[in-house]
Amino acid sequence: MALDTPRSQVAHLLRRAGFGASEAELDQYTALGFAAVVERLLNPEQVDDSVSDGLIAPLALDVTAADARRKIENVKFWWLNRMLYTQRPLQEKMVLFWHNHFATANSKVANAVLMQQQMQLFRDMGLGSFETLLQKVTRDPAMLIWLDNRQNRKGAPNENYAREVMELFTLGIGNYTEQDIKEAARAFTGHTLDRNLTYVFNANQHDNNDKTFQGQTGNFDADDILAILVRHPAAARFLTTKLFSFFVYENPDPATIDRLANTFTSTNFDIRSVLRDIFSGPEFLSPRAFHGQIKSPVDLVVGSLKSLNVQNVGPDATAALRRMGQDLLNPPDVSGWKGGAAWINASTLFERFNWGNRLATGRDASKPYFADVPAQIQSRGITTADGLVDFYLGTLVDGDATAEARQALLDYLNGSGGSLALDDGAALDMKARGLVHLALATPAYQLA
Amino acid sequence: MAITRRSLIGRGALLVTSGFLAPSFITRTALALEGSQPGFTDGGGVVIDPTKKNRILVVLQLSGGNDGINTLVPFADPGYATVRPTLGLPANEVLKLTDQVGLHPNLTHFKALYDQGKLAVIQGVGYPNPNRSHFRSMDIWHSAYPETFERSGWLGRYVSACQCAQDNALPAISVGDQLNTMFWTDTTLVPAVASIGAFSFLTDTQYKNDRTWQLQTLHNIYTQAGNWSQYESLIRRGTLNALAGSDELQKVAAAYQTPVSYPANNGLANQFKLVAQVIAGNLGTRLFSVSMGGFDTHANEKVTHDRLMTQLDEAVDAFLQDLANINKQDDVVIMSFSEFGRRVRQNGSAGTDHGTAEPMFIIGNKVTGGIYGSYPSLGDLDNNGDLKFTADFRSVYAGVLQDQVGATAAPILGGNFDPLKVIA
Repeated sequence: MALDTPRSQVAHLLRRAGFGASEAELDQYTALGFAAVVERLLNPEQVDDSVSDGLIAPLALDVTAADARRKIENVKFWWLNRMLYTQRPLQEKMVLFWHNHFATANSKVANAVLMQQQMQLFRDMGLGSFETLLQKVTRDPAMLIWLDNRQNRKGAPNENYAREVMELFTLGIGNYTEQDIKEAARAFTGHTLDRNLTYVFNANQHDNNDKTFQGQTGNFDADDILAILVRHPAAARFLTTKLFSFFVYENPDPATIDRLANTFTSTNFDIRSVLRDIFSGPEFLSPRAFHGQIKSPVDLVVGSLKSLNVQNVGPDATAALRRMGQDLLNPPDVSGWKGGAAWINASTLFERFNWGNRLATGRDASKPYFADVPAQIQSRGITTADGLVDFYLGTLVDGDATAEARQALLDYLNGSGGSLALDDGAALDMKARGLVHLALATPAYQLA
Repeated sequence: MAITRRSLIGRGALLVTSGFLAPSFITRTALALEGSQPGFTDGGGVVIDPTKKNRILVVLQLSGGNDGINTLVPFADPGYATVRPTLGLPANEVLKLTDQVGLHPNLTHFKALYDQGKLAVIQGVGYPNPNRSHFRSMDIWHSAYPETFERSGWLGRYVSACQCAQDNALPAISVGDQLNTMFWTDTTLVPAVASIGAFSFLTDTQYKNDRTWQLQTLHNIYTQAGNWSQYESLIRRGTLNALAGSDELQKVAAAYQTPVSYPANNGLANQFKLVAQVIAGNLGTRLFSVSMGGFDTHANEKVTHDRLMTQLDEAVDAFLQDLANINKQDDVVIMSFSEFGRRVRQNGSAGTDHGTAEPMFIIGNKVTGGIYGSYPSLGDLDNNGDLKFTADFRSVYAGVLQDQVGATAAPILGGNFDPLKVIA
């Protein structure tokens, strides 16, 4: 059952390296073959995305709205639609990965344009050199506001960026001292913003004295510190563990990380090469990987919209994400979303299930979240209750349901002692939509 | 292991489904499953004090590292103005508690509580070898294990040990859309509740009669026995746990509408309002966590910290009014903490970096008000420029466990810590 057909392997790849796939998308990608899909995902610049650009264009990303709250909600909504429609899903998934890694929140930045600019940085640079990305992030206006480096001046440095760049962005806790933080903070002085919130290096505020950092002494500037950090052995393990955990499963074996860390170092910190290693490695299609992660709210929301061919997403989809625990552009703190088991609690489970109910009962083509369940059934030529259950268990949970769960759904369709008449429009409208809701509420649907 | 109802119920017996689904059936199933999880222990010697069974603890988390020095101000120390040249609060604005320390000027209701003997202030609280990472230090406060990496939370271990989830779907509530780690254990789930209204499994409003069928089907799927993966097991238990608490909370929501006007645009106040609503419903929920963020004031601290102090003060005041209105003021104690205090000397951007020790507040009618412990010296700092702690937070936890929660503290905290006696 698990990842034993080309189609299920490609579906798994698109769940992890993208945001899921509709049946039609899955047809197209499967025809390419797994290896070709990996290369297509890794090389987004070779994929024409104009159709998706055209679909998103009418959303008129209005960041000039007078209402600051509206502005940031517009940016979130535009991004959610981009995730839904793009033909470059890995590029967009990496925007989400880096957003979670360099977790910056608009709650403090309070500037939708700068948040959008930071996401665009991740879109443009997210598959390239990690060292270059780190240099750009260090100069990114939203980051300079978020971790206060714009106010980091010589004489009385501000430690905020220096600490988090080591603890969360490169090395992980335990690989630096409090003194390293103080010295690095001095090296980051003077990297600030001008009045227009554009990055500027203010030499007058930069500390030009020697710093002793990680056992080396010199008149280090920001990029010198970053160069030491990315070459630290802990960085290769920290970064590749985080990437692997995001795309495959948590707590990878040390041997896996040995391999990926070597790729990271030997390719001059090339993220694309590490990802290729992850997607083509033996772990990726292993039984442990199949449904071995909890879907993030973004994965659940965008994936369900794709699976049910929901065409008009409501602007409140971003609020649903927030209630599920993933408020885009507002991660809870600089460590990002905890993910994994932390996605699951009583409140977030209800939000997930109730989102499913909302899509499953989207009957009105003139309103947001229209899900044409009858058309989907018809197009697949389904004529029996068994066929109905098997189709939705296939498309929604890759058939990952026990015989008892399948029987429970079949009993639901047929009612007590009867059998569902698929030619009875009202009965089908009630039961088929109810089935979709229940399938979206199964344990397996919560897994990626 | 003590023989409990739980240990007598085999998992398999629960899988026979009844034809008619009553909410109580879901509840009983969920509760029984709680105890059937592998790894459950009977609490290893935790003794429950029945005389505290009506007592309620609300833990108030201040996330980001609250500046304790500008919360409980050592205004009489001449060193204060030196280390806080622009951030220092003028002595004549501080709300003086003694001739040495006073509260931030915006904590006016806290000052009134102090004057009424209902506010205990514990000075200089921390732990050995302080960690200045937000995340590690918060984990330490949640787990109460500073030296080792412990996943479970201190109150989660209590909920596991007391076996109170056996008869009550809601022995504790983590308010908000994330489960507070202080409630985490691998075996017992505490529900996170962000909103009572949304805490419900919704079904198709066009076919209301189909709801019973949907719930029955969901129940059949979720109670199936199997060798589930860790994640699938979590999802299954979480769902049954959520369904079990949902009906009770919906009833509570309908039963009490507070006449107290909570402050607007104050997230903490909204959380307290939810807590009061649940307490009013007498569901037997004895532990709550609430939280407010924004305390990581590395730059331009004054405007932010002033606002946070006002929000904190007004939220607590509204909650206490609400408790008085439902006549629960004698039952409830609030305990505040933050993952660390902040650096003694302000930085070059009119803010403060991560520090160590901080004051804790304990509030309630049964609290013996006053100042506890000693204020760490501003002149005798550690080699990082931070305060040396004078009280271990586990002593504070031990006192609260013993005198409010009603449980022997040592097995829960993993050691004997002299309980700080602040609650009668």
